[in-house]
Amino acid sequence: MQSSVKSEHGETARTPVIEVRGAAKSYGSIRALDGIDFAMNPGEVHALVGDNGAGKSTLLKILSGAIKPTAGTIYMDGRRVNLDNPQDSLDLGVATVYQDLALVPVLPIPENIFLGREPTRYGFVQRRRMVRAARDLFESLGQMNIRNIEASVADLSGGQRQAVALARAIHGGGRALLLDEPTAALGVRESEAMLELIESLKTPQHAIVIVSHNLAHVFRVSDRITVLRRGVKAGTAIREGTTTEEIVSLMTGATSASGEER
Amino acid sequence: MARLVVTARLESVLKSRVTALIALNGAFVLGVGLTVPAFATATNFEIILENLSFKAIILAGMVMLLAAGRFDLSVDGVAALSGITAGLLMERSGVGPLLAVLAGLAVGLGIGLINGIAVEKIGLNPLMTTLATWWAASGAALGLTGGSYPYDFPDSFHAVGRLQFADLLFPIWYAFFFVVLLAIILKFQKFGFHTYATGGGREAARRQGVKVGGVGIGLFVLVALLSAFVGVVFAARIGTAAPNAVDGFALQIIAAGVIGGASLGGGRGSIVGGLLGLLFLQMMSSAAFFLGIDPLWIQSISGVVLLVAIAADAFLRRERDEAGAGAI
Ligand SMILES: Nc1ncnc2c1ncn2[C@@H]1O[C@H](COP(=O)(O)OP(=O)(O)O)[C@@H](O)[C@H]1O
Ligand SMILES: [Mg+2]
Repeated sequence: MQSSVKSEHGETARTPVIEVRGAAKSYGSIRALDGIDFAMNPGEVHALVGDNGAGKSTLLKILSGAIKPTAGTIYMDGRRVNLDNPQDSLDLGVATVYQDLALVPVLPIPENIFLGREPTRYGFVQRRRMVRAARDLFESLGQMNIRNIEASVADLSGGQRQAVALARAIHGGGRALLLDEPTAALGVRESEAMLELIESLKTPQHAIVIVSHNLAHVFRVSDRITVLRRGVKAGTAIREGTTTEEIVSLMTGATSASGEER
Repeated sequence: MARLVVTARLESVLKSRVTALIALNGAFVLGVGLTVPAFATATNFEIILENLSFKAIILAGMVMLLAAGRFDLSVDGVAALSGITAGLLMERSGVGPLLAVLAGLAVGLGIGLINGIAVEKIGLNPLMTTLATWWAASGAALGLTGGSYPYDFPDSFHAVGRLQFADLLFPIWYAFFFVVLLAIILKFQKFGFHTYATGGGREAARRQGVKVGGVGIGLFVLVALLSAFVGVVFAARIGTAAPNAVDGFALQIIAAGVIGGASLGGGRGSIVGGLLGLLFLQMMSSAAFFLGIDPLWIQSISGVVLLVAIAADAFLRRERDEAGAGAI
């Protein structure tokens, strides 16, 4: 299905679902990101790792259209696109679970899941449909027991909130899923459920990015690992060809970029 | 255990703010009515209803603005300037009533756009912005009259505020219309859902594709248009366009909205609740009249009522947060 070309290294290169080239973002004098090339390939889970403040969330927000990069170009399926606002990337099939989850605490779960794309008839929101769909969604996810689907997000635990944000992202469909620290707020059992879920979401068409601090989690679910350090790319490696030690040394700056490939 | 159940039941009753306010209003009518029978008469309720109607029109929009996490203090100034613009055009420029009314509404549209764009696009503080436009508009209203207020209006203009339908004045029907229309939009339409989301979590809503700036500008314009409409209708009703005609509306309306369940933090509020809050404040004014209390004290009492409402709300919410976390 996917257009494939053999690269000189003999590895199959497909047209990335999303790709950024030369992405940079400055906040005043702070350079949060500089000259980043990053690609999300179909069928791949691409992990993004790095210390606190390395720029992981910033890169993710550029991919989701939540912030505009200071420089750089974005391609979807090889075509150049402008992500002027989050709606643009949502329209292109990019779903995001932000690190802060981007939920509205005062609103009930169904309102949060359908935020921005409420089903309507004659302009009237079909709320009963929303409630039913939200319930079905949690049943199909099979994790996180949420007893009262009408509860406000403010009344949920950290894990339950994570589930709501993820349910929203999954329900949106789309071909690219961006997950910023999806296991950071979770306990051991919940983390395990989340990782299984991520594995189950992997299909030949979907591209997934997962930001995480936890290298054990990263090595378990990802196919490719990119390391950011102080806003620049320290390197990218195929999971099978690298080790925790190598990734750690890239994170801390003990070695410079190795195994360079996009 | 038992205490928890009782608390939960009490909470579910009180949580329905509307139920609580209906009870409060009922008790008030009963209490004052038994003391001063003239208070609880149809005639007096018609007066209360009429006074209420002008504020209710603006309230319907203000509750939406509060739900979106904003508020508008310029209401009094916009109403005054719109009424005076329409009045002067009719009295001193020989403009017909229809055009004069449209010009009054255009004033509202203009100030609403200024408020909306200043707050949502430029990022100015809503308090300072609407305070400034209130100041500018009421100053302009005073300045334009040159000291003598316009009053020489054609009958067709008076009709706008004085005609009756089914024994009720037109302004009451206007209020009915806007309250029902906007309550339906806020509760059941997509725009209403986005209004609550914008106020409850601006950045989250934005990232999920809600046009939060558009929601805000739209609601600032709505409130200003409703204010302008009230300014014009009020002038038609009393037969004069006075710069101080609706002084104090903005604060009373915002207070009523908060008593009715809205919060300045956004994300909450209902138009029906706000209306019941407004009814309570209006009945207090009326009761003070019958009980021979100096009307000046009403303002003070209204302030205390607002404070009690906010405190009760904060208390109930703290209870709920302590009992609710993890119990889902
Ligand atoms: N809105 C902002 N304003 C100013 N600085 C920011 C903002 N967002 C992020 N930064 C800075 O950009 C850098 C990268 O942040 P971030 O992408 O959140 O890192 P990470 O997710 O890798 O921990 C940090 O130095 C952070 O302080
Ligand atoms: Mg981060």
